[in-house]
Amino acid sequence: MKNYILLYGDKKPEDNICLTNMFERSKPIHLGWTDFDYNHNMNLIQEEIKNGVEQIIFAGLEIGWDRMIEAIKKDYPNVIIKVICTTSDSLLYYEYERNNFFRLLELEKEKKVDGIAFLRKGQYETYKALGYHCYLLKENYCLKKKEEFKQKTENVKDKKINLGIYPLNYTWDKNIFNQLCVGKMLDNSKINYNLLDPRMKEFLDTMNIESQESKIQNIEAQEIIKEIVKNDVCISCSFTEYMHPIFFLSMEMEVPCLIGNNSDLFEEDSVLKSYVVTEAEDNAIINAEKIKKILENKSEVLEQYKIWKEKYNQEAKSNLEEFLEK
Amino acid sequence: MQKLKNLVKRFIKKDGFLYKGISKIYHSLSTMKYKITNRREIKEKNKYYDSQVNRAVEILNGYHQSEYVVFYNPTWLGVAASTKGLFKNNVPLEQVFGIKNVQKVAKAVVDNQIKTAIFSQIVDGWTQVIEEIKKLNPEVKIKVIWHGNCYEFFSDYTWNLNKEVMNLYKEKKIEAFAFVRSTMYEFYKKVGFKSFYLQNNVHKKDIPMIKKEKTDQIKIGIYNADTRELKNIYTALSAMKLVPNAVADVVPINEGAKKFTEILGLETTSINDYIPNEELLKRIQNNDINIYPTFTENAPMFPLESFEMGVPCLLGNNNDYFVGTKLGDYVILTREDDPAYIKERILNCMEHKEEIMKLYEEWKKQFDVKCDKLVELFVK
Repeated sequence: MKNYILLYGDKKPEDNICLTNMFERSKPIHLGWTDFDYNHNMNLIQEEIKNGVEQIIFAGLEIGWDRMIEAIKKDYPNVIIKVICTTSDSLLYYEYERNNFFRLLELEKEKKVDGIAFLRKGQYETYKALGYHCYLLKENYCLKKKEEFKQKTENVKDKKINLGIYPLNYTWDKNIFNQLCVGKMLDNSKINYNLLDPRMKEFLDTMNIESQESKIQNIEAQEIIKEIVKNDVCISCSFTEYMHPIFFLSMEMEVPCLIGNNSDLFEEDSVLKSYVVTEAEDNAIINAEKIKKILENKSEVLEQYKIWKEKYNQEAKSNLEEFLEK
Repeated sequence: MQKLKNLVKRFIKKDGFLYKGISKIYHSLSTMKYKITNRREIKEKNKYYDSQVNRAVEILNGYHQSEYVVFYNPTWLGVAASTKGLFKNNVPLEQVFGIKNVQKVAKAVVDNQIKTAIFSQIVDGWTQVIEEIKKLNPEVKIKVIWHGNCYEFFSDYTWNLNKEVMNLYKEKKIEAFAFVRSTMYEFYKKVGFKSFYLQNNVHKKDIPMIKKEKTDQIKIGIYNADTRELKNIYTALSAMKLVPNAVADVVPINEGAKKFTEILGLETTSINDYIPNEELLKRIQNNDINIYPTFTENAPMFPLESFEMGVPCLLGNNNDYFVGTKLGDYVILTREDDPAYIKERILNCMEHKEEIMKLYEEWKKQFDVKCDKLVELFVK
């Protein structure tokens, strides 16, 4: 395994929860808006290379990072550069994502990037078939201080069914309002949610849905977990997702989590998938039914998760090793 | 000006009294400035809006003593097609500006002794028309068809409109709502609104059928998908690339999507232009299959139009069509953001194309009956 470092920016903090958990060595860098940012990043990289780093991994290709990649390849041709893609095809709708992704493909064609890692199988297959040097990674979260988290968090559950909805961005793909509707379709329930926009509260009040807002200030595992443990079930039924931090953090804290059918985490016929994945992300009736089933079979869901996670950890580890070695 | 605006924004609370006051003054001044600088244009536009109100009044006169009329905005193509597919007494009407126009439309409804006025979605000025009708004759029933789903509340425009119609309902000026998706119908019913369920339908027997030329390629179509993120065009293009020997027909195709097809090396016959619906329906007959893997919908028209043109269409798991049927097993996609999965479903659909079209024909017969019954219940 080549001596490596993962470099990440602050544009997608939810992805950083996963990536900084997966890689033992990681450091934050600036987005490359200005020469100051560029110089800051290059100084850090040069320092790392001096200290023996042979492989630099970028968490996504953010603005201005292509300039850094070109400079590294020019000055240190033997240093291996890999980029982990952090966008699904669906999100290429956005000019920022699209331009950076297209630039990443160009850099790979020009041999300035030695490989691109995808976390979605469909994408991996598409770009592999097109001749790009691709890797398939599996997102993973190993909460090392799980027990510590558990002790610190005060459980404030009441007699209601507490449903946790903690989108980390107020964007269309998070499907926020359809998720909040579930609170109406499930009797005796209460929504605990991350208030990202005043409209969320206005909607819940207008529709007379019992709720309690909170505000996740820093997108960090510990802060999210503090909220998650207040619930009986969490819901994270977004339309498209690249990484699934809410699912993993929630399940690790033994709070089952319903997610959309937008991951490659489970085998098609998996029992766990039949419980925790909804195929109809925007259908509050179906999702309320799925939550009822989860609650009725909570211990089985958690048991299945443990079994699945053990195997998944092995696969994720082996994919990661392959990514770092080849 | 923008800098000043941003500076003010930094120092005052968004939901505070001061912010609201300043934004109201700012809004009034901007409107005034716009009116002064665009005088001529506004005059022309007003002329146009007056004339379309006059046209609506003429049509209303033709529905004298009718049980119901349905207002729809002819420029919202999906809603227009949906309305025309369901109802008979339809009245095209765009935005209604100015109290005189509001009164004209309301008076025409009341004078013609129309029992129920149905509004297919709400357009600017229509809530005033509703209030005016109720003022002139409280006996006229008002019903609103809400075509959106809760996802749309992300948009300021839709959320504000929704609040307006909910208030009108609370003031007993709107009698009931109709929704074209069961989950919306159930949700609003549970919230406490009198709700009806409708389903969009398509009747396209008047479009000439053409014979598709036989080729070795698989022609796959995706239409009107470039304007909104939820239409998921990039995943659709990736999926097409994975289908051996595929040609994509994407209309319209924007610059980003076009560049993406070039990167993928995907052959296309796409054009970057909107084409009239009738022309589009002729065009799609040249395809082997159409795909519509959108993230959220209510009752989309395109998949039904495609089937009516003899071309199967894969669609997202976000509406009530084909649910629980064998046809649904073939054509409903459950992983809309996964190109490899969509590819498999395209190939499977191609393999069972004849069976799928037969299943559709059977389904459509029952669906037509169901739609008519739902409309009957709603307009009663």
